[in-house]
Amino acid sequence: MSALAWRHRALVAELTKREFSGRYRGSFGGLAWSFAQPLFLLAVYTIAFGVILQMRWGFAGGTGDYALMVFAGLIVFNAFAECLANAPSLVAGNPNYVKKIVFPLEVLPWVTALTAVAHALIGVAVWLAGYAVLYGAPKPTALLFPLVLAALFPVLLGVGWLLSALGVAIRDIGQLTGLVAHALLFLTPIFYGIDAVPPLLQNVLLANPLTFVVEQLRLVLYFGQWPSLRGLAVYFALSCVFAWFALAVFRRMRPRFADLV
Amino acid sequence: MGEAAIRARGLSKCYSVYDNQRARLVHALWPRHRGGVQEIWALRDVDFEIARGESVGVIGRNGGGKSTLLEILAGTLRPTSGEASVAGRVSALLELGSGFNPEYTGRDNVLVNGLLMGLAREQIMRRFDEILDFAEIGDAIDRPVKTYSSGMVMRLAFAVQVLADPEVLIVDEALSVGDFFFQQKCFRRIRELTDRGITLLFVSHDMRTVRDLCTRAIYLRAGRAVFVGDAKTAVRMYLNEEAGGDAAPQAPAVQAAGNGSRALPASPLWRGPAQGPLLAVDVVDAQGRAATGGRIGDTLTVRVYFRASLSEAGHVVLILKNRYDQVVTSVGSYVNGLPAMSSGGADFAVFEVDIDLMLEAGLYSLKVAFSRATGSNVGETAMDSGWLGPLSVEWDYQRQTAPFLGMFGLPYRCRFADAQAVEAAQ
Repeated sequence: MSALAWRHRALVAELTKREFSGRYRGSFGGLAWSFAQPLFLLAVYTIAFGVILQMRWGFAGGTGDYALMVFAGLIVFNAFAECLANAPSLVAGNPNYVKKIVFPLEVLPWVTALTAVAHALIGVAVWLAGYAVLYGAPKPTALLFPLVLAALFPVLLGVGWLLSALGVAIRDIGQLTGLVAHALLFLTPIFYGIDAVPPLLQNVLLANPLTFVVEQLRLVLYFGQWPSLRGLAVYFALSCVFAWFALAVFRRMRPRFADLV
Repeated sequence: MGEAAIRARGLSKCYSVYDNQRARLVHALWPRHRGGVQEIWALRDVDFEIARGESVGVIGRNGGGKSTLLEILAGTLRPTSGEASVAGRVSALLELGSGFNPEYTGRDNVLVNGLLMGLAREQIMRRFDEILDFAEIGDAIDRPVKTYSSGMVMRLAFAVQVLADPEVLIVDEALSVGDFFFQQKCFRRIRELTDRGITLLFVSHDMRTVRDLCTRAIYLRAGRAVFVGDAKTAVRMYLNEEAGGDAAPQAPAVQAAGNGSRALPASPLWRGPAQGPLLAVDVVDAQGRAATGGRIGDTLTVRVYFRASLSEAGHVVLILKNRYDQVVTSVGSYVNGLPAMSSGGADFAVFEVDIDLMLEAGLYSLKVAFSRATGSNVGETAMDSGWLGPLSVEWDYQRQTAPFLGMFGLPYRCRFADAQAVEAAQ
């Protein structure tokens, strides 16, 4: 699954670097935007839900706690949404890579996933800074956040492979992912805790693959508890199976790309 | 023949054209389902082998399958059936610059392209100055490629591909863009590489370059390799069919003609229909060998085979055009003051025109017409051959003094005159 990416690691590193820094190239803000954007969105959501709607987390906490909880959820969601949004056009949007030059297309989802993780890392850094301002030193378990992101990583790859391959044949997928992302933003416990949900809907939310990751990230960052290691291991294994399946689909369709793009 | 560098076995490529989106999707997921799918064969059962160090041209009309073949060999396209193998690092100049990301700077693109070709970062860095030197784009290297002119993109792309030490070089007509001097530089570089022993596969519509650069050639017609072998033969065959190809039906060769000792040439430059009046046109050099050009000052003989009864008697007209579609000259029996000609009772007659190539080096096309005069300098064309060629006039202006410069070498005389005699005459 990662052999090809390893062989092309220099290329993947170079492309990721450029994807990451290239996004803000030419803008005056430069890299500052990758910090400013999540902060800005966080401010908007916090004002809308925390201040105006007066939403609070289950325990007695202030607007600051609410913001931290929301932000933790957004870190996970944004990583996923970024891959979801980019995947359908990875292959379809680069016909030259398919037709004109010999390009290891399989590594493109790696670039997207790694870029998404890089943004997530910035998000965590901003989160920790926010926590430090409100409460002082972060909890030591916060150091475990890489474990949580690692469990999510194969999902990001899998989404990339599956949707980029299907996106070549079914152009409608690009339209659908926008809707799905919007739905997921509210159907993932980001602006509310899972406990606040009626029991019947809880099961539905638990079926959302992001729910578990969001909860685990809050556990290590905010609550200072150990994550469910067994849960993360199982999650990682399952997401690897998903990624493997997605790659199989990608490889099966790969020979047809040139005819379809 | 040594070890094969490129090998194709029963190579075929079929493009699917879909009636609608649904057929497209169904076919993508289940390749065996063929409803609503039409097949177009771009390549069919192509076999050949190219030895290491050989230079081979690929020629044929548009739609003949040339690009498809190159794309398969370059690895960007998979054949529908058959197999192709290429040994060694391949550099493909297919559509130069198509691998570039317009948002990245030239420098970044060089790096990414080099990595794609399997070079290590350090190797690319080491050759960077050389690449910059070759591309001659100066400070633009640090600007995004989207700000480049197409010539600049091409220069940079060529530099990257060629300086990456390929073992097999695949060149499409990519070089036809870019200014003349850069083209020359590219060809010089390609020659250097072939001298060094790399294998070259070269597609072009410029037959002179193919003959020049390649020892062998593959002639593709409608997806099939009609001929694989000696480049000169392939070029001649192509030009022959190209000219006569779809305009006039291929008449069976007239074997016995006239009194039995004369026959139409077996493979003339152009062949007309059996009923005439124009039967064939051939161009030969001073030694009587078939020719498609020569050096400035050489004499070419245009042989026109025609059949016309006494009542159909007419004139043979030759027209030459240069590559800018300008008529360079029109000569023939009428302007030469000859009477209208017929072939009498014979199967055909031959009219020969010797032309001294006092023309600027370049490509020219030739048309032969059989006309009947209807007035002074006007006539009615009974039949013409269509544009044949190109005929190439060659000269190495850099190394040899040309007999003249400019478009034509007009007949002229010059001398040192006695100044006093000139004064006296006035």
